[in-house]
Parts: sequence; C-alpha cells; structure tokens
Amino acid sequence: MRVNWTGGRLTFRLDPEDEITGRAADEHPVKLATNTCTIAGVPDDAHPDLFAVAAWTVVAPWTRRRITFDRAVSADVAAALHDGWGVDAGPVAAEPRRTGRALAISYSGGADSVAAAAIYPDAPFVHFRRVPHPRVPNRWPHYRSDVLAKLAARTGRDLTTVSSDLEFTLAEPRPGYPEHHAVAAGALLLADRLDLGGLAFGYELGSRWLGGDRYLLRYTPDNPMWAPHGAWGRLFAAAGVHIVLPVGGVSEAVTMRLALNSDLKDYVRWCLIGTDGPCRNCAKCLYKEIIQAAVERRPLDTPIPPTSGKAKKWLQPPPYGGQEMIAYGLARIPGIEHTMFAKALDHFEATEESTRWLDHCYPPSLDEIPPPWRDQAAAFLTTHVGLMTDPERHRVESWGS
Amino acid sequence: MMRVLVPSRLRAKVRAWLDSHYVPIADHRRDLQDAHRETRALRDELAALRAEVKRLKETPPPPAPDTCRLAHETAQALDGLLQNEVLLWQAVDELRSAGPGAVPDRGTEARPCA
Repeated sequence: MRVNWTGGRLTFRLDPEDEITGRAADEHPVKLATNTCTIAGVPDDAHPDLFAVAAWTVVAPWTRRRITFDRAVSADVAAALHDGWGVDAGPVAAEPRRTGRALAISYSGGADSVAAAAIYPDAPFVHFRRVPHPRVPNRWPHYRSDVLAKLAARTGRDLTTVSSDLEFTLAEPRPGYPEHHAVAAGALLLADRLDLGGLAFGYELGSRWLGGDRYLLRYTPDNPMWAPHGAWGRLFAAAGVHIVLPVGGVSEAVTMRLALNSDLKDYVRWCLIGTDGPCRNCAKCLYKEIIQAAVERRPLDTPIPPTSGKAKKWLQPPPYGGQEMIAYGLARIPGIEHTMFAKALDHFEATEESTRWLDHCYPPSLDEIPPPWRDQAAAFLTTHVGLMTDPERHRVESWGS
Repeated sequence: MMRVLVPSRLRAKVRAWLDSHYVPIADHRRDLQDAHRETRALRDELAALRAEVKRLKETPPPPAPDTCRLAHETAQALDGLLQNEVLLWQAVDELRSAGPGAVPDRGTEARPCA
C-alpha cells in the first residue's frame, strides 16, 4: 500500500499483494470501493505520524505486507504497525510526536458519547460528519449526518466538526468506517492544533470487554481494537494520542441513564435517520428502545409491528449483537411477553438479579484510562454508577464461555 | 255535524284544484322510497371509495417497472468500474516497478468487471 496526502485529500494505491477484499481488525471482510477520500478543514502541517495513523485507519483492511507513506514516520509508529499487523512501514526518519496535554471527545451525539461527555464536562468535541463522495453516488441519503452535526453544534461545547467522505471508500458491507478507528481520522490530523494527548470514544462495556457488535461475543481483555495494549491502542499511543474509553466499563443501560440525566439530554440522538427526532422505526431505534424502556421501567413503546422484518431477528435464537442488553431489557420491561420479544424470552432466564451487574462499572476499565484523565472518570463513575463486586466482575470475565 | 249538499260539478272542480296543487300520498310514498334507495346507493358508493383510498394509501405506488432494477444494476456496475480503476493502477504501478517487458503475476481474486 502506498499512501499520499495532498492537504486533507488521501490517495492510496494497492501494492501487488493487496486485494480489493480485505479484513477489518474485527476480522469482518470489507470490500474497497475507491481509493481517494478527503478530510476537510484539517491542517497540512500535522506531525507525519498523525498523517500516517489517520491514513492507516482507512487503508488497514486492504494492506497485506507493507505500507509506504509520503513522508517519513517515527520508528515508534513503524514498530507499532509491525507488531500489530506484521506490516513493514516506511520511510522511517521522523522524531516521535510528543503526547499532548488535552483530551477531546470523539462525539457522535449518541447516548454513549454523551455519557463520555458527561464525565468530562470541559473536554472539547470533535464530531465526524459524513459528506458525499464526488465519485461514488450516495445511495444512502436517508442517513442525516447534517441533522447530527446541527445537534452537536447546539450542545454549546467547544466543537470541531470534521467533514469527510472517507466512509465511501468502503463498498461492502456498505459505506462506513473501513476500521472503527476511522471516525478519529479528522481528530488525529487536528491533534497538534488541539494539543491532544488523548481521544475519548463512547465505546462501552459490550464493545470493549464482551466482544459485542459484529465481533466475538466473548470476554475480550485483549480486544485488538480497544485494549490499550492491543494493536490499535499501541498505534494511537505511538502517535501521542491515547485511546480513552471513559465508559468502557459500563453497559449501554448505564450510558443511557447517564446521557438522559445529563445537561446534553436534549441533544442525544442515536438514530441516523430521523430529522425532528428519532425515526422510531429503524432497527437501531428498536434496540435502543429496549434499553430505554428497561432503564425507565415502562412498557415497550414502538410503532414497529411484530410482523415487520426488523422484528424477525428476535424470533431467531441468540446470539444477538448487544445480547447482554437484550437480557437486561427482557428482565425489566413490563409486558415484554406480549411483544415481538416473546420468543426471545424462551432463550433467556434473565432476572433483575442476574442482570444487575450491568448497572455497575467494571473496575479494570478505569485502570486502562491514562493517568491524566483517570481520576476524574473514576470519581464520576464511583459516585454516579458504582463499581462491580467480585461476583459481578466474574459475570464479565466469564461472558460467552 | 252538518252535511251540505254540494253540486257534483263543484265537487269535481274542487277535487281537480286540490289534485293540481298537492301530491297524493301514494306519490309521496314512492318519492320517499326513491330517496331512500338513492341514499343507500350513495352510502355503498362512499364505502367503496373509502376502501379504495385506504388500499391506495397502504400500497405505495409501484415504481416504473425497470427503475429499481436499473438503479441497482447501475450502482453495481459503477462499483465495479471504480474497483477496476484501483486494480488498473495497481497493475500499472507493478509494471512500472518491474521494468519493461514484465508481466504482473496477479492474485486469484475475481476482477469485478472482467
């Protein structure tokens, strides 16, 4: 792989061994659509390691053996790429970047990043906004990134919105981040300007420790994407921008509760489709409704009929993505047995007692937060959430076994 | 009660006058029946129209027969073109680095539009 930056425009060319179909860090196969993308409004004099890591968040799935950057990187970043992916990176000549002092929040506006924002009320936001790609027709206009950007702007926080078409470099499964970390590409390029030493993401317990989403669905202390000692954690650290997961130890029930009780509650939006509010009809709205209904201890309120395609998933046996939250919801939502989740009830023996561990914070997640920002998160989560007991910790550590 | 003898000519005149100014009861009945029938017919028609509106509302208008297929196929074809462009550059770069006369040894992955 050879990458070239012209300002914020990234162009990359495949080496002979590279192929159109690659694999993301979570082993999910991803197909390349096109080899250019732009990240708008970023400085062109950022440290070369920042350009290198930002490029890597886009090209990693399609790079097999080596990557050649258009400017020399530090030995630290080259070593992180070699150790993490077995990839030879070069040229190597730059001095490593000094770790900055500030922490910014990669802010999407969803409940998880709002919860992260509640923990660090003074941290600035960097918001990634999808814009169309000039060479790839936008077949997904229902994704209202403009609405999310406006909501982010109304929070009143110090905000930098980074507009980018990098998601259109991905053809399949559909436009999206080639690696989960590509959401940070703009923040990385802004890291010198913002003096960043850390970037906080809203990834929560399920993503960090339970192998959630399209990942492994088992306890993952060595999660390659989010563990500080994982490939990505070490690479970001080598570029002086540590990955910080302030809500990495709490479930989506807790992030939902924190978000809906926070000053930013009026701007929380997990739905990518709705304009005046969440659409309530998409699969994500349905999933989040389970969590919200459980947190608010009220019946499920959804316009989605049990006969719809979105409900079909819940007629199948597990595993589901976010399975721990389904169990949490089944145990708490009054009248759940009369909804589309009736069938799913057969597969769980969830009770409030058996899912109470999801109301508390997994303590090792606090140890993973770099020292400059650890105490603030620990104090907040100890006060507002509470730490898991040893038996509760065991529930995390035996997940999926 | 007093009974008065009225000449038959006068009686006939009065009857004729009354007949020309008032509708007889039998005709009234017929008119009412007709109106009732008409109301029932209108009500049935309205119900049918309502059902039709409901049906049309629930069924989105079908797209022109080829629109979906063409949009889908065009998008897929364009994906293939863009991918082929990447692969072409890959081959060009490989030839450049291998020197004149070299033939690149390609992998086994299917070429999108080949």
